[in-house]
Amino acid sequence: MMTSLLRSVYGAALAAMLASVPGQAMAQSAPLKLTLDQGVVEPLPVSVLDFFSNNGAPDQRGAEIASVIEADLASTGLFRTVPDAAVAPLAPSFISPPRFSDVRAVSNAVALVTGETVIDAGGRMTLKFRLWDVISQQQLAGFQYTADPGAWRRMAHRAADAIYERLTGEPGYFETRVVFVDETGPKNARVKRLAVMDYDGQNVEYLTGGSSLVLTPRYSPRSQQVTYITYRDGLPRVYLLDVETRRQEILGRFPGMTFAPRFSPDGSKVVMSLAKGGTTDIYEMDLASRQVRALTTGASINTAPSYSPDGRQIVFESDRGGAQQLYVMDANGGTPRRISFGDGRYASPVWSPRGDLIAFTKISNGAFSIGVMAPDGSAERILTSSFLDDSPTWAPNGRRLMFYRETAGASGQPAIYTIDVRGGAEQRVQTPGAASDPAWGPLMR
Amino acid sequence: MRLSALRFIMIATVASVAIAGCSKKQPVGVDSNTAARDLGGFGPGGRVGGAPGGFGAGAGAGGNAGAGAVGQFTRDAAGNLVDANGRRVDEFGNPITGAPLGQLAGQGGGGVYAGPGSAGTLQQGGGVYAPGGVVDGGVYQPGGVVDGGVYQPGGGGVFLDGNGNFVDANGNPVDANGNPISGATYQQGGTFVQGGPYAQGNGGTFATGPQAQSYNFAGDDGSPNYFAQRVGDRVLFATDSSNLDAQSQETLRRQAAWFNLHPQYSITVEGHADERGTRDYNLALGARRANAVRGYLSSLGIDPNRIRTVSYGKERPVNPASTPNGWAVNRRAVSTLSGGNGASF
Repeated sequence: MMTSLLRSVYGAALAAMLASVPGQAMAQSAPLKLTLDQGVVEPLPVSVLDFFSNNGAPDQRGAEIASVIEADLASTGLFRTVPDAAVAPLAPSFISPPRFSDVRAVSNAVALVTGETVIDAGGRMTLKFRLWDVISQQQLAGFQYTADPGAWRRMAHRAADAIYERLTGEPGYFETRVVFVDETGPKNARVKRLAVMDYDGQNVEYLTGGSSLVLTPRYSPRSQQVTYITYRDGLPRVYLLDVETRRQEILGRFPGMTFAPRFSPDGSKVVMSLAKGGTTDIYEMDLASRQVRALTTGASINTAPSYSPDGRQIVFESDRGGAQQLYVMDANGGTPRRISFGDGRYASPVWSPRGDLIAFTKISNGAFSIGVMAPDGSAERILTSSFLDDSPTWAPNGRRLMFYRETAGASGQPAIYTIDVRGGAEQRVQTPGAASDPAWGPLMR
Repeated sequence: MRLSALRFIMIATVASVAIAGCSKKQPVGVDSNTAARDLGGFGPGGRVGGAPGGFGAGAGAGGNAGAGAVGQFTRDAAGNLVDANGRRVDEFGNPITGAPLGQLAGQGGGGVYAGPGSAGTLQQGGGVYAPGGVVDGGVYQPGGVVDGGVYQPGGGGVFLDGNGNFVDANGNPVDANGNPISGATYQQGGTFVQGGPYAQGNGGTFATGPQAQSYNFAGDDGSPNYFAQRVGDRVLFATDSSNLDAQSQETLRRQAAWFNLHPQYSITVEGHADERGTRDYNLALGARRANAVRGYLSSLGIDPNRIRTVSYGKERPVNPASTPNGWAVNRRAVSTLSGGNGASF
């Protein structure tokens, strides 16, 4: 029948993506579903039709919402958007299902999204959408969200998250923000400002004015708090900043410079480095009590700590063995063991929120790469390479990495990119200007 | 299919949702809403106490013996330190160059020295520190300067002139044993003998350290600009290294000599890295480099409390080129001055 015929068109690709067991996969009732544990396969074709407005016809905002959802889905590399001009007339209303048989005749989309927005008397906007499985002719999901119309992008991201979750079985990461460092000016007199943006580069807000050098912001995994370093006191110190209230405070009064901060998974602690007498060690601060304890000691450089998602271990980099390598220790500082043994130097480790991987920067043969390895150091995979890639940061679902890439030369500039953790689907995030040091925040709900 | 058959799931009507995130907030930047914070432990307090020209309080109980005279130095038209009688002196009040060194023997400590080993011969590193002066590997007699040489109270000794050459008490060139060197010319200069390590706080013993040398800071106006341009405010490093090579050590000896001349300044050593490293590591590497400079300067007698360190990692290149030559000058530690007249930080 038609369904099985179409499925066979996608053949192995779809079969691999479908969660259903073989044999069941071809049944009409099988839900459309990807599984992310497979290698990269043929992206699933989807169409997101322009959203209808109050008067029953698509408006510009409705087209923009569709574009945001399409961009979210396509940016994952798991989906590809297909032209929907021929499909739109086949779904003339949000309140009735599309004419699926006709859709299949003019489009190879296997998933279709329709939606509408309604502005109520109070001026608030409700965004509604439905996700359709074109093959089974079933509605896979339908949700609505209400908010200030100015939040339309956020509602669109939330819809895309729901679509992603329905099709992959895992939470999305589109309704998230990223804190980063905006850079202007020449390379030898760079002005750096702390800024926050939607994960896709939109809605940029600047958090600092640029009079003080700021570096390495990190998002709390649990709140809209950010920790970062600023030179406002003349030397680098770790600060805490609330993105919503903009309130901020210094973390600790250490005798030397503090840097490389990062939150614990529950947001209750910050680990950071303190440089004193030429050595750099890792300290943990409890945010409630402000108690501090040293987790490493010795004459070497120990920095860039990052907790495992269960909070029981910390991966960090150290040159205690002679050059930068990655080590894992217990969260109380015990039993450090080296995990990186490849050629070159390893730095900037970040533990995945899923716990299965550690992302890092590798410096080898004059190039900087972003890679991942298992927490025991096995199964290293290099995902990128360039003149300078650094500061990997995980999407909240652990399926995508963001990092910055700086080009060489006197006019070199940094830009922010994302890449699938399995490799491929690399995308540049369109920031207003040069940007570095991204840190991915939690889902905003 | 009828509408009623649609499984329209109504979920999450997010009315007041955090979509409040879209409401306009007053962007209160970090740079405007927080008062300056007390750093504690830093600031211009790094200035060493005591009268200008002396080691001051840091040298301990014995260190202030010469302070009275030291405080009276002025500079002549050529910028040289002179005492109340117009005689050229070093920053410790010790007459230098053409002054008859022998006459100083009687000032202070009695002028009689019996060194370890044979009489009158000093051994490197075995000397004694006495108030108000500097020695390196030798013995200090108040009012005089020696450097690993032989001191004979009242004349006949071997001294170092401002250029590091052995001279006798009258300023004539001699070899290390005090024998005249024929044909050599003694050059006068606005020089001083720069101190080696001294032991803080006890005014007595000192440890061995870098070889003391002397420098001629011609035209020194004591300005930060002079320091940066003529003394040399920076040292460079190899990739991923904080080792001070011979050239860097020489630069730092010049710096230490100049800092001794201008004790009104406190020093901030800025450590930098090139762009070929990760951000966090480069901050740590810059700290390590700055600390290496601080340690070497303090081994040369500069009070470590006078020196603070800061790392800029790779954030402040002087050469933006992504070339080995560019990176070479960016891997640096720069000594900057604060305090003093009109100096800014």
